[in-house]
Amino acid sequence: MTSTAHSTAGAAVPALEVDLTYGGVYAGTSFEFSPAMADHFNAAAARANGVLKGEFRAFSAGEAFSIACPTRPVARTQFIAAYNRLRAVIDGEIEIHLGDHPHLFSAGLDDPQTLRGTPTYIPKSTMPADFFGRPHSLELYQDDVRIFGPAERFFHTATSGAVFNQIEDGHGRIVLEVRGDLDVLGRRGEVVFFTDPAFGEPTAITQLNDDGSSTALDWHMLGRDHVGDVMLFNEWVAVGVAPRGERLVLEVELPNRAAGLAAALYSGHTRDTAFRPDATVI
Amino acid sequence: MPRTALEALAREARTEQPLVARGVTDAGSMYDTIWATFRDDVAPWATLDYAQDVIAGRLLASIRATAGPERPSVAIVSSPAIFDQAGVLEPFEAPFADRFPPGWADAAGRWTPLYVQPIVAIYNVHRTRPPRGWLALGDGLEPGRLVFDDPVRMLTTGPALAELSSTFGEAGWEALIRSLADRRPNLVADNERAVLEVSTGARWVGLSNWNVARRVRPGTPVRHTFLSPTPCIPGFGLLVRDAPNAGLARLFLAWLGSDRAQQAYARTGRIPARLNVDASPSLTEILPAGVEPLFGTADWLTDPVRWTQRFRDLLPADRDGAREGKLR
Repeated sequence: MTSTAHSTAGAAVPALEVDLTYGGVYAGTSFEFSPAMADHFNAAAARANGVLKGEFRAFSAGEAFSIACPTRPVARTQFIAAYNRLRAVIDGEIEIHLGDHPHLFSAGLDDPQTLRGTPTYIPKSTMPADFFGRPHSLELYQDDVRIFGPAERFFHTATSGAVFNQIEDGHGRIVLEVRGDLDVLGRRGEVVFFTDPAFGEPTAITQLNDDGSSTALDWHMLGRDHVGDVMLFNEWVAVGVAPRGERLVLEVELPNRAAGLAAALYSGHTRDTAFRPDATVI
Repeated sequence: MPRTALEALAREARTEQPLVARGVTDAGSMYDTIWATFRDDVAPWATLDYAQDVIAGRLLASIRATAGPERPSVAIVSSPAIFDQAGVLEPFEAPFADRFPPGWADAAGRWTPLYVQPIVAIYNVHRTRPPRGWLALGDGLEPGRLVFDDPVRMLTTGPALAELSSTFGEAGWEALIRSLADRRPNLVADNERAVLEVSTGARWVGLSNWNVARRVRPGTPVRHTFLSPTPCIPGFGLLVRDAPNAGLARLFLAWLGSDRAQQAYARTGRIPARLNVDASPSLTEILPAGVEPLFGTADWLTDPVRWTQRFRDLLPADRDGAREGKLR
């Protein structure tokens, strides 16, 4: 809940409170955005009504890393004003104004007029050459007030951590394959998904193991991401994930045959083939 | 005797290490199987600095830009002629040269064949049926649903399509390439990306070398099928001039033609370029009945530039940013 307020330029801007349920601000996850993916978000913003100033920044293709800030829900207008005052400070030296970069706002589940956080996607090309592939100290400030950190976060390369390799189309489902270093993912047991509302909400999640066995998983809805009045995706997390080999395969059963956005992420790198605007439930 | 030649090379190289090598073979196969066998067989003192690089232009640029102990002395490539034309190659001894199919080993000793890759059609079983032949590869596909590594790169699809010119004749071959161009194919940087694109369902049909096409997860919707004829494209070993530890490089390249080296390549899942060596997999073992292998019928090996220009003309595309599939 908002506990304090700053008065800036005549507008009341609430102080954001970081939601620590999933560990607070997570940062350093690596992404590869295809031109089609950037077009997908940019086209959604172009056709949306009621997009507020500071709500959307155009996406572009290329590699990016995220700084994701889950917060207690705040009214949409106030959240956007507050978000545009956030600064990430890395290693006490590098300052990033989150509002300057592409971002996606997640609406609260109980009240869609509130927002509960946002991942911000910062081009990797803006960072020093040797920045990725190691941990850094992260702090988050709203104006001059620190609201999170310092905390250590690992900033991934395209090959470090779990590599979200692909999301396959399937009959009544999509199928995620993850490779790479699955240790951190296994310790937390979580995989975050973005799935197009056209698919409906998932009805079952199954982990497939290379030995032919399978495990039913639980999941929790986190939010519904919008730009203006256009809903972009359901954001949810599969829990109880327990990798048992060199790869992790999750089947996500979805009720509606459709084509649209499907993405999966956690500590590591998401390839453009696992962040698809054209995933299809056949 | 080849074995005697290896022993002589080993005596000359005994104080040399490490071997710096780069190329298309994946690092796991190189370190765990091929190099381990090499050390066990003839060079127990030797150490290796190897990294995979499948992009010939990048590897050539890297060789040109690197001097001193970091300079690779061995390159493993699909298209050796561009390295020869760039003047970076040194001839070397190839005591097993007469045991390879005609046309693959170079009389001047500039390259040696290592393994052979049959080129297969891949398809997404959720989306389409297996292509029935080369001329039907794009049948029923909407534009953008076909994928293969850019033939201009002369990695595997370029040489494979070049080989097919002997099958279809000049006019028929151009018609084949134009029919592929009509499908507006997605041209990617490597075979892994082609398989990845078909696996997701973003593309429905593609081309890949057999080794990559079958290295997929259990339950994948990607399948592969052999078309007749099946072009078979070798990978080659090269000696880079003015590189360190050239004696060790010469020993390694000479050894790669031996029975044990060819069998080591087979243990990595690749088909040895010496087609009669006792190893599994072999070409005769994997080709279905009625499917003929095709190799050595076109001059892509000695004149890749002509083929590259033909592919540029017939397959116009924006070639910036072709996507890679390998996990590095």
